[in-house]
Amino acid sequence: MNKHLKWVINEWKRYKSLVVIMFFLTILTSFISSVYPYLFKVLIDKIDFLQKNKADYDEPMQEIYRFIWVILGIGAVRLVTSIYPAVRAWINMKFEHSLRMRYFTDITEKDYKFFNKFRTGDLVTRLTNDLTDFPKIAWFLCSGIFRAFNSLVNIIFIMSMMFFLNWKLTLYSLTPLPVMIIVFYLVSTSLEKRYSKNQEAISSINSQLELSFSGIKIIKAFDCEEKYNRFFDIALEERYNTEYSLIKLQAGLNLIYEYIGYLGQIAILFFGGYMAVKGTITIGTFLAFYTYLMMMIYPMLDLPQLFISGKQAFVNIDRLEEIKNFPNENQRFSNEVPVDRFDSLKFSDTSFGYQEKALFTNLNLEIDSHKKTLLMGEVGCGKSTLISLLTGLIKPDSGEILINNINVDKLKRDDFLNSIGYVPQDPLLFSGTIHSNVTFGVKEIDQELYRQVLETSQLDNEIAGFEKRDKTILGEKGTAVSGGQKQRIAIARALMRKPKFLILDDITSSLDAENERKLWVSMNKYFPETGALMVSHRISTVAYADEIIFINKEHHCFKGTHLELHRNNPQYRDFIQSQMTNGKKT
Amino acid sequence: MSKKLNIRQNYKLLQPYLWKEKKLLLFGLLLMIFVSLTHLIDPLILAHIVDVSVPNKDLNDMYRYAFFFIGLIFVSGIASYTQIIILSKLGLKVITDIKMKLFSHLMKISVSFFDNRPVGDFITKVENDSEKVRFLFSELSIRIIGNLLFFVGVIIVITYKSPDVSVWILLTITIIAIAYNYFMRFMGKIFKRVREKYSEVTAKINEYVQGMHVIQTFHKEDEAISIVEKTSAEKKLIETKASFLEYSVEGFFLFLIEYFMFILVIVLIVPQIFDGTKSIGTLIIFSQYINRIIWPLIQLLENVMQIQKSMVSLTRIRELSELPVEDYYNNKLEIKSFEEEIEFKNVWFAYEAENWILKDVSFKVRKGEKVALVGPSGSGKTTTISLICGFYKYQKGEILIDGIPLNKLNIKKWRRKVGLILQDVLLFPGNVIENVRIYDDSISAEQVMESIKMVHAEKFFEMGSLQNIIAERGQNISQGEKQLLSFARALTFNPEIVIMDEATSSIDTVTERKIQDSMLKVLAGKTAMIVAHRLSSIIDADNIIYFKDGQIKNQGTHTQLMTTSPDYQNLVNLQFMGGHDE
Repeated sequence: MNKHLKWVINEWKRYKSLVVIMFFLTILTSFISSVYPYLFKVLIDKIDFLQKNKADYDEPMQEIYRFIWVILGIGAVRLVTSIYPAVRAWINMKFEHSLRMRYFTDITEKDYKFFNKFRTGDLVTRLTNDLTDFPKIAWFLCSGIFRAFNSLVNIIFIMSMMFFLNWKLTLYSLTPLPVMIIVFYLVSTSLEKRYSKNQEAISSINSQLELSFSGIKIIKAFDCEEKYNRFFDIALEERYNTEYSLIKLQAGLNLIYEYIGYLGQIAILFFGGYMAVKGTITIGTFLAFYTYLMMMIYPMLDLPQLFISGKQAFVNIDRLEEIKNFPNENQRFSNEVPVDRFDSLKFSDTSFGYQEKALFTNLNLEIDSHKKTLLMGEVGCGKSTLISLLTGLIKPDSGEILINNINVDKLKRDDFLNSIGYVPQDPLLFSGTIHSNVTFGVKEIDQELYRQVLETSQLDNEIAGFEKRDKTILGEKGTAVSGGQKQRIAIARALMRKPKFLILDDITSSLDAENERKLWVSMNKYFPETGALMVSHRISTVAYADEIIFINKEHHCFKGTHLELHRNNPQYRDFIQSQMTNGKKT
Repeated sequence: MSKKLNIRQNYKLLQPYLWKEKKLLLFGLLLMIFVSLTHLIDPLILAHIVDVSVPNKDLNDMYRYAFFFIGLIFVSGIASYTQIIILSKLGLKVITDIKMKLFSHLMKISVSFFDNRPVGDFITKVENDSEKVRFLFSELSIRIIGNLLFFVGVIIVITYKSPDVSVWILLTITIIAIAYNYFMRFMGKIFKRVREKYSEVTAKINEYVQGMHVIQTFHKEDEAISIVEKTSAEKKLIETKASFLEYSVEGFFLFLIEYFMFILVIVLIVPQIFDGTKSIGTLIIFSQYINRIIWPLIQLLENVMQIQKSMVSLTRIRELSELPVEDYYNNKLEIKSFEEEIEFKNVWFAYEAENWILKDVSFKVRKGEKVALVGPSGSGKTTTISLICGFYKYQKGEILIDGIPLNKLNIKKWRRKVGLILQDVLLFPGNVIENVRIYDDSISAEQVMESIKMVHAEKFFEMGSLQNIIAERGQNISQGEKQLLSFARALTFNPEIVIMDEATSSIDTVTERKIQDSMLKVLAGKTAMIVAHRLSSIIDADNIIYFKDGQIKNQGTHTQLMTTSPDYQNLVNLQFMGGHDE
């Protein structure tokens, strides 16, 4: 069976009872709407009859009043079935919510490879627009399917009614329909294609216009304001032309849509009119056919919509499944050994590379987890990769990473993660207050520790300057909190968990030389036991490090104190030299 | 500003366009009457067939009417198509014209206007407003006039057929339409809340996906899931409530129209049929019309609201087009050529009141000198060069160009002497040539090519031709090449004074060498002010101005400052020898 179909059926298996309800509701709704023109026919024929045989009835209106009760009864049922589309929408939303949660949960379990491959915006789209928007997954799952079913039942009911009333007229009036619908489809799909193409052209012109104002300073500095109008001329004229052809297309589409209704009316006027005049059908039947045909055309146009929206939804379903099926290495922890202390950190014959391109080959390196170790090297030498290996975000291709001489994979994941404090290069704070971000990783807040942490990360004085202190909300943008402050909040967040080992990925951008000195002074005061591994681009950081790991361009690692490396390693010497003279090159 | 005045001014803005196209407008209106008529006609034909052709058994009469119907819809199809095209084209013309004027006007206003607005957002807003104004001409006017004509047509026909019944019908229908309109406005508010919840869901997912590795290393997955679950469930709940409310109330309205109104028509008309005063055809006409009249009426009410919105948009556009152009645009004074010096004399400047960025800044740049501005970020370097370009007005002190105050000079003529090279090179939409000459077609393509060769940006020749369109935001061009392009621009315009904000981003050594070389060519024989980020730029400078906190701390050559200023030494060590400055 088709995999998409299977997926859809699997989803519905969760709501078996709803399938039954929807099935009956659909049939009831279709029945009620198809019975209405028949009532009209009966009424007209009755009036016609009563009028012609007035003599036989004293109170002809009594007959009519009795009939009105029937109409009211049907109307009452119609009132009830009016919630049918609401039920459909409700089920759409059920699907939307549960799918969103299932796939979001999947995402929370993914590893770095996954997040390298999929951009945030893309993932968000898959969990929001792809699910919610019309006519995508959620809509398709219930509304799409049942609307098509509804249309089909409508057509069947209406056709049976028509056959029941007069099979000959039914055949006559229905013959032109298939041809009309095919023509309609051919024309409208080709128009729609051109339509969306034009729309794309327009949005590209719009983005050009957006761009044009970003360079306003340059335009003014070179005194080209008037000359630049030439660009607007070009862009706006292009836009005018595209838009004009779009209008023509749209007008054409409107026309076709309107005409298909007219054609049905004409067919009934001719065939039905002929039969009515000849007396083979009553005027009631003639009028009922007129209404029925109109009622049938739009479901017929709607029916193929199922396949169009289905195609769209299937693409989106694939995109969801792609999330789920992406291989995951995060489940590597076997959770055997608890971690209660942090003595040593060791790379043992560790190799790792991105996409077959080796970065580290048989790396052997030991880091004393009670010391402060500085990681240095040129851009692209593998500093961040080394850190990601240590934090367990990525897994080595071969070899081991040993904590207390135990392979990381054997550790309890929670214990391991709880014992390291990680400060990423990009602070990645969450919406909420400064306070909620600093205490993000802890369950119970130790006030004394909180104070120490703020002092260590050099935030206390700055927070005192904010109007709402640590209750200042970090908005998406435009808040008073600067980029450097955000990164120091990330440092505070890591320290708040009393980590046994701190990992700082690039602290130079958030701390100036003076603040950095204060940070290390406070660190030694409040967290003397905590070891650290830090990346820095500032030579002055050397002063605070017990040891240095230097990674050269060939991705070999060298460990030692600054003096040792400076004496023994010419590459390190060159690197330090180049950092000092080359200025901005990092 | 009062509402009435607003409408009058908006009308003034549109009036010339409407007047110019009055014949077209009139023709469009005529066609519309015709189209509305067609929508009225088929119940009348049905009624005629039922009332006349069938009882008389007159086939020819029936055919005559059927053919008349075919002819009518054929002509009306053409009419409706033409009418849509005419009015939409008119709207398009008007708005393109307005936009053209608006954009060229915006080019002339002060850059400070754009400081507080992200340009992308701003243009999107202008775009949305223009669409609403265009909508006023195309769909809105077509629908409003069309629906109005149809409504009037129906009133005329049914009043002619049966005045007493039509009073009842019209009364009920109007009440229903107004009630429905109120209901939809109420729903509009609820749907706004649904949208807000939805964007909350999007924001939460966005935030957590972005910070997923922090969540994972802090082991907070369950919390993230439960928060997303909560927001998503809230959205589901409110949206479900909204759709049940919407559909059941809508169902009730449909019941009123399809059943209640129908019964009303039956009760009112059928007795008259039995009296012989009315025909079955009349019943058909009424029953068909009640279904067709209600939606146009509801739409009409809705459209009136949309007119208000379009008017608000039009007002916004008009207000933009009335923004004052840059202050000293119209100064007559100009200097033939820059001869002596630029002097800052006790200049104070703030973007916002009293928040001084420059405090009492004084310095001189003599003709032919290369001056480097250095200092920590936010110390006022970039502001200083912006002031020289006349982008902002200084509040105190004076900037003198050859002794003449800058704000007395014609700013355009002055800027022609200045060449600006910015840190982030923003590319203009269009091809390489237009990017270098900024759409100034008095500069020939050959001149542009000459400059491109001089800055070693031959890559642009390899890209096929110079007509090559630069992809959106210059993604097919590297940072270094963008800088070369901006050097080529400065060479092409050949300014007397070069003002440059050096780029900080790191560049590969080959491009670096090209940049060094091109810089020499651009600066050759020119007066220059450089916000310096390269050691070579400060070493080569005739004078270095060291900024701190909006003030000038020291001035002098590199060797002088290295001995006299510890601040400067410290800066050079940290910024130029160590690592980043922020």
